[in-house]
Amino acid sequence: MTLTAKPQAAAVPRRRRSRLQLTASDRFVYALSIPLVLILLIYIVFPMIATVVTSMEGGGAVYQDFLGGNSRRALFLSVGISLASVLTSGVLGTALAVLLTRFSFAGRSVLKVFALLPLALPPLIGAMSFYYLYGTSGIIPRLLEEVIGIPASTTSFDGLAGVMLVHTLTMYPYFYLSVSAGLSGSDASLEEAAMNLGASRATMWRTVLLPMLTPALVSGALLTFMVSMASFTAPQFYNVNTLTMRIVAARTSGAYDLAAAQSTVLSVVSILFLLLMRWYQNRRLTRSMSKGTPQALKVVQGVLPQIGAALGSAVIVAILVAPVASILLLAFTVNGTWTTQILPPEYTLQNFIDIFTEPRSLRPILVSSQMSAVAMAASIVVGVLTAWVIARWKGKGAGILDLMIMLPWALPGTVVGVNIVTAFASPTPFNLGQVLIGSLWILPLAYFIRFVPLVFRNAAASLAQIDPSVEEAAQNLGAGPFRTLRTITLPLMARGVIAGALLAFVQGFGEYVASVVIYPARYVPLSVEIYNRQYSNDLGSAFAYGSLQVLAILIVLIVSELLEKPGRFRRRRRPAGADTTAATTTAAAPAA
Amino acid sequence: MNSVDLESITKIYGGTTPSVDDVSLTVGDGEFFTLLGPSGCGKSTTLRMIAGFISPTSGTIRFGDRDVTSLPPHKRDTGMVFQNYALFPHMDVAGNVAYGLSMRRVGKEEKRTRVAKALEIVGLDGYADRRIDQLSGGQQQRVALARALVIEPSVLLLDEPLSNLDAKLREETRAQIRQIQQRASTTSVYVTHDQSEAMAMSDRIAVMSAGVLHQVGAPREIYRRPATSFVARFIGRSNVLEGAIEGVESSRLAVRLDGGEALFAPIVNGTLSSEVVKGDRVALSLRPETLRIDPLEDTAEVPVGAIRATVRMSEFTGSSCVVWLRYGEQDLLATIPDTDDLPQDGEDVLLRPDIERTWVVAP
Repeated sequence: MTLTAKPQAAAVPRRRRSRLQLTASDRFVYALSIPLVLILLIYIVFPMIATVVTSMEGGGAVYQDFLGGNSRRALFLSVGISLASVLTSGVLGTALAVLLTRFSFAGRSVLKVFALLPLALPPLIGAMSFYYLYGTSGIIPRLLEEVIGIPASTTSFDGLAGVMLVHTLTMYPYFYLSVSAGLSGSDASLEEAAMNLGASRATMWRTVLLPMLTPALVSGALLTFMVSMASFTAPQFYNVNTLTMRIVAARTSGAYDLAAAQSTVLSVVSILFLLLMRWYQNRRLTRSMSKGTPQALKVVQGVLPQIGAALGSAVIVAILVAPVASILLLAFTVNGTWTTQILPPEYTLQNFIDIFTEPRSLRPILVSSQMSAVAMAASIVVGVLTAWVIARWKGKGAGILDLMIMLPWALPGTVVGVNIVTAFASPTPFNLGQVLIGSLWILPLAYFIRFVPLVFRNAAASLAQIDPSVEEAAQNLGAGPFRTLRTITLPLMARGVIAGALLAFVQGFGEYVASVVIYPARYVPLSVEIYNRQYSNDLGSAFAYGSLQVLAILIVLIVSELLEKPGRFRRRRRPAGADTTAATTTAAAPAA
Repeated sequence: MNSVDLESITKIYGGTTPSVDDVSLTVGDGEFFTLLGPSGCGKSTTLRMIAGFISPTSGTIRFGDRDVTSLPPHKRDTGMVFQNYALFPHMDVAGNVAYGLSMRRVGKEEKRTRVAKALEIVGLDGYADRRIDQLSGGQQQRVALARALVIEPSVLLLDEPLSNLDAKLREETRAQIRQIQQRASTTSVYVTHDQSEAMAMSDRIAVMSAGVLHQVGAPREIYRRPATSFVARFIGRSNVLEGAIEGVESSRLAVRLDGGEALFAPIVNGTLSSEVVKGDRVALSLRPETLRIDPLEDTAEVPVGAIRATVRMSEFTGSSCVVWLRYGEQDLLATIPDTDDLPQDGEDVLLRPDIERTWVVAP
């Protein structure tokens, strides 16, 4: 008993039990992945392939047209707008982030609250509000003409300038969020160390802070570029012929193969950017390892700078609040009364009364909320289970599943619409014989595809905070894999998932870009109805609908903020702020 | 019979180096058995294979007569205390402790009494309604213990349960765990890298290194009669000198060290010392307290049974003196009773090991 001699040579391992390398819970994970992969293949991957196949039907001739004609100009225009948007929103977002995380001044706390307000703008009504604020017939240019006498046409933002204004003021939050997270993540002791070692403040910024912020800037830039490439509502309002506009135009005029080719090109660009972003995020290792000395704010000194700062914040807050305020104001306009005045002359509650009393007016709200609810339910099931399967997957292959479910996040809404229409137009083996065009299910499907990445990301982030040994403890105490999932894992994920699902719901409620490509005549969703009302000059009704969308988003943002607070169900070990930021930016991404 | 039987357990993750290499051992019914070794030695992997979280690449695990090798964790009826406790953060203390009972469909009334009893045993009565994040580390540790004990598992598994506690609490808790275990006489497998913890708590200890099981034995046995040079060095402090067997007498062995000198060691039946023959490579384990330091006469040859070493420095610790020496390329350590004439730094001395406490180990 005393002595077990050290084995001399490594015994040749007997392989007789190699089958048992898989434990019961591993097998449960793999079994669960099969239906998930099928769903993702049928509803996400095959529709993309269907579009590519359609574009190739003429033997690629349509790509010749693409290169020769308007499409190429549209592509260059889209890329140009996107690059410019990265620049302008990058400057604005970074400046705001630095101001708000490093300086203390009058109006800081107010500004901090309103800095995220653009995230509450639904895509269509948001673009509309900018149009009626800063366009030729907008409030501000008319006001300037009245007060200073400059003709409205010279101060207004139209065409390209209008698109850039909308992009800048709605996309800077991607930079603002990532840079603020980066700045507050880098703790004071690092900067103090640099300066203690002899670096001046400027050198410290250049050698310590900027390198640490590079990941934040790069991901902000990639995200802005992607969202900007996908942008459809702003170009539509300002009639700028971007690639997304061309796709819808080709589709409407019956040139299905050209639309497919344009969608394919846009998909390729978007997916490349998705891959670039993932590669970059996996590569980055610069995380502050130190304990986190709280950052002291630099107080703005002197009377003049203080007044300047206060005035500056007031102006910025006014600019940020203006779109939402104008939506609320215009919602009370009497239809057809606002012509050439600075502000609408007559106000009424009738627009809201009509919505809730006329069944015809209430219908778009019911359609959008029901379709979106169905999509939300499906997103919860698929998103949560996929997140769980990926987290517990052993060996290779999880990355493919992750890529499959995140693909739609990169795809512009227009492309998602084209993919669905192409794939579910006639029965094929790939869509299991489902023809969904014109059916009740096509809108929920589109919303599911567009917003399942949102639920998935939130579910994955909450899952990452659960210690795997907690699941093992449950199994050890006698709970099988399914019961462990039900009694331990899912309850622990609940908050994050609910927050993600609510965001998905509200995005579906305001969805316009894909809806406009696919909606069946009998089921007109809310945003399409808003566009129709605006088109027939029922401005008050259109904005009344829009204000309800804004309200829904604000409620959801507040609720999910409450849910995401490190509450009592959380382990205290929270990963660095990057994850929550990622979730929030994802939340905002598909909006344009 | 709640014994645990491992038969030729091997675990290979990708690659060819086994994390656990052909380990066989038996934990007796009611025994407190410790897997001891430095981090990465395979002790936790072994424990997790007993719990069923990892399947062995080859080999068999039995609880009593039952082959559990292919049984999933939730059917093994083990109670595990995790290193980070793994308490369910969305349940209160009572909910955590009751979880295993619910899985076993224990009736409501019985569940309540058993939970109360378990909390009382670990000294947490009155804490049933607390949230987990309202508890201190030590309290969380005891909830984890109660949760594992309340199901009256056939085997209790403890994975470094004390490593997250501060030193004082660690000693209190280890005594407490030992008491509770003895009272319930639950077969227990305990994993630690802390040899003093293992010595203090265990009926028997298995020492592992790099996936290989080096020795299984009672704490005293392992300290006094280490099987390998690794065990000799890992358990307590030891000077290990390598050499070859030069002669076998009736009650003692002569070992010619690689440094040239010859030392003796007693032959003890049933150990390596009784199995070796002339020419075998072995190592000698010399505990610091078994060495005597004598002055070296300038002219004298080094006598048989002693080695010549150089004093590097000495330290007075109160009850004794610690002397660091240099022997060839090797550092040695001797603990000697305090004297007024300690050897000078740099002085050459004779080191005489106590023959009876010199131990032959596998190199």
